[in-house]
Amino acid sequence: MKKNVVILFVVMMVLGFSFGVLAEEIQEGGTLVFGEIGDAELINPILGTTDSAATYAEMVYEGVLTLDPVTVKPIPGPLCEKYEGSEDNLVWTFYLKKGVNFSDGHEFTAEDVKYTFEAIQDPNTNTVRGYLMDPVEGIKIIDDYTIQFTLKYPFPDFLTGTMTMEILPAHLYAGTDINTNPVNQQPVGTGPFVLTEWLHDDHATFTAREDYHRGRVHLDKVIYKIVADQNSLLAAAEAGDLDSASVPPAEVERVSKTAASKGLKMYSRWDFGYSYVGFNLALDIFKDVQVRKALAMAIYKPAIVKVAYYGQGMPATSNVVPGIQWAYNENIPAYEYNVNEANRLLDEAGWKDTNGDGIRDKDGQPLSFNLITNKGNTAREKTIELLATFWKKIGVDCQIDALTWTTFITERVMAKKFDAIVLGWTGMGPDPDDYSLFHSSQIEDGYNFGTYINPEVDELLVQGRTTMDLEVRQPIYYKIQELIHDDYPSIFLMYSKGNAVYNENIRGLIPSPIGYIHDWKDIYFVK
Amino acid sequence: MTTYIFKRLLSMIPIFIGITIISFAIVHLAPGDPMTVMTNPKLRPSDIQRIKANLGLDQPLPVQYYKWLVSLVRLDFGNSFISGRPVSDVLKEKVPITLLLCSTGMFVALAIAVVLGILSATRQYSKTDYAISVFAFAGLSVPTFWFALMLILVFSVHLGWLPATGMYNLKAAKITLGDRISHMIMPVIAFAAPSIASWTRYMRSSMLEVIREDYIRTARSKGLKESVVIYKHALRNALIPMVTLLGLSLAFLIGGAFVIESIFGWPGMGRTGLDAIWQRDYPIVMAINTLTAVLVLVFNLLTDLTYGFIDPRIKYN
Repeated sequence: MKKNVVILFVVMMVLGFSFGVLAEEIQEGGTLVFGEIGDAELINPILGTTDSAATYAEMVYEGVLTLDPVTVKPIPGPLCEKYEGSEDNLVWTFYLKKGVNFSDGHEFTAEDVKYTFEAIQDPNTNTVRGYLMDPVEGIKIIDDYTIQFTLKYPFPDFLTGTMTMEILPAHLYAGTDINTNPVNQQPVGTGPFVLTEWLHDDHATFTAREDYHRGRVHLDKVIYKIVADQNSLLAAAEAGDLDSASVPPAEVERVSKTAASKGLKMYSRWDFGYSYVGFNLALDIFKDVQVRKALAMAIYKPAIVKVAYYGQGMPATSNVVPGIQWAYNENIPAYEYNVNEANRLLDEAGWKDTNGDGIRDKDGQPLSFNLITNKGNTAREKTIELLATFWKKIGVDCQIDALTWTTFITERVMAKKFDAIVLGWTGMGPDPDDYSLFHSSQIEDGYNFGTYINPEVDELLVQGRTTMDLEVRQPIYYKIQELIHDDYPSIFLMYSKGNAVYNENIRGLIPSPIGYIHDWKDIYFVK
Repeated sequence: MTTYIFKRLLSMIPIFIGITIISFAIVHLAPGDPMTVMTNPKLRPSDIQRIKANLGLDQPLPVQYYKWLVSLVRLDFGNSFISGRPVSDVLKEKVPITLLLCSTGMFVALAIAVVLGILSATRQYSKTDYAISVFAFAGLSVPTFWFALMLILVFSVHLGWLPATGMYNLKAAKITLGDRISHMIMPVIAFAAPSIASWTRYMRSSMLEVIREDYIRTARSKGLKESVVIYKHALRNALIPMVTLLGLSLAFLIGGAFVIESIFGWPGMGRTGLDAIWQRDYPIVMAINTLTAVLVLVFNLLTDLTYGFIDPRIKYN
């Protein structure tokens, strides 16, 4: 009897909850007001360089392929019925959707796709996305709704990076200077919204298209309001002026307690970012892997996550983020904190404190170097302080400094004039290809600042980016992570977690490494 | 008079060129370039070199300056490096918004300063005078940005009377005049405060000087009403130094607009200029510098000329 009562109770609870959910009524219409730190310079997916430019472009433009928010794998986008690759992964055919119109009424065809990708290749186009077209040998229009890409070699990022690029209207761009074309300020796309008002550095208003090819979205308008900085963004959302804001790590604890009372709901997601210590391997003291390993073993990563990032992250193990589930090698230890072992390694490497000043030395040279990062990023400024403290314990003298971003990047990092740096990569994308960071050819034209050279890694990196079969790629990336871990060219510190608040009446958000809003058709207010 | 104007205009040319050379050098010598913001692990540094060449940034500085000057003569400020928009379009959008703030601020500052200055002078060493002096010194010593933040804290955050940022309410269906004014109150006050403070002091001393003149004593001895003496005879003469002051504070005021616009999210030239400086968008920074330089030069000239009109004792030859 008692059991039955419990079951009845549970059934009622479940029913009650489902009715509670069902009772939510979709509110047709409504205006969303979001905040952006810094306005977009233009709305053109090829040319844009700021986050806000990418955000605005996604309102009006659409891609042939898009990424699944959960698996982060490529799937046909709003402009594509289906796509297929040849056996050797070199010929890719895309069947485009018929009856799609740009917001000026012009019909979308394969011509627009061809123009967009050829514009990326054009040396006169001021785009930094030229790498997307590196593997592409030719583009052929089969008919108005079928287009074929031929590749020089199989290239995984072709589907996730290249083909997810949003498509521009060829009839308005072809034959003009794309860099200064006025359409960059008055975009004409196939997407669910049109730009109806744009007062630069103040706000941009996007209004739903009645004739959107997948049917009008629920919302009427989305307004992006420009705010001065992260503090005013969060303050405005808490005051109810904005429907969303990102929450910096230091504020997470406070906001998670007060969000509900302000009509906000908190969401978290793992992004594709990580922070790391990079060594200049050309420097004598860092040439010895024993020294780098000792430095890594002296770091207690959880302390960095807790103190510098207020717990909003997790200790990093390798150059691949866990969000790329298939490629992330779980067998690599997150950290190997062991001060005794670190001391032993340094002793063994010949670094001993002979003059009793607390700092190890060898051949009269103290074990001393500079560690720099960019000013204004308080988490990184705290990180370098913590690192200096950890290293002092094993008799290493580390001088820290924070420099302004442009000085840091142009005069020190890119110029390779540094001993060690703390830096982070964000927006690495859903592919684990780290060719530009660790391949030896990228010392000259790339981002291998630390001049890391390992022929085995070189070979694997090339293999990994020229095959598209995940089963073949997985062991390659597992091995790359192991090799890089054992070489310690960088110490990976932390995988970062993003937090944001949204108006509690908004539905359709899916926290994922690539964002919260993936399809505007899914987004609506409830009454 | 004509020769004087002609000479002045002629002498403005080398000054103008000097200003542009110095600002061009400063702008380009700041570390980094427009491409620094684009750092991303997937971008090829060679792409960045190619874009730099497309923008003409690979050429030596004197060549770049020469090209800039030549197009300036054709009144062409070029296109923004970051957005590709013609700089003249950017200015057309932004300058009126800044002028709205600046001119309202200047007008308010002048009106209040003159009134307070007269009150202070005519009631010298009274409680009113001391009170105004205390306010004036406080206004001079308080940094603008701090004062602006305090305004937001008190009137927006705690009292909720006035909107903290922007030019109008985005959620409202229609923009009303009341909405516009409520968004302007705090920026205008913050903008005008330092000018009110210093101009009140100038007005006070200038008025005090005039009141002691013989012709004021004559006017009083004629039996004129005190208000006529002050407002008709004294005020006119006391305003002469204020004209100079107004013309010369212009550059200072534009600098103030940069700060005020950033704090109050006022979408004018100041904010665009700051963004352009961070992004190293040289054409926009140079256009704003040039425009400001021209304004200052022209206002200096106008100040000198009006001086001649309102003060018949001054003759140009």
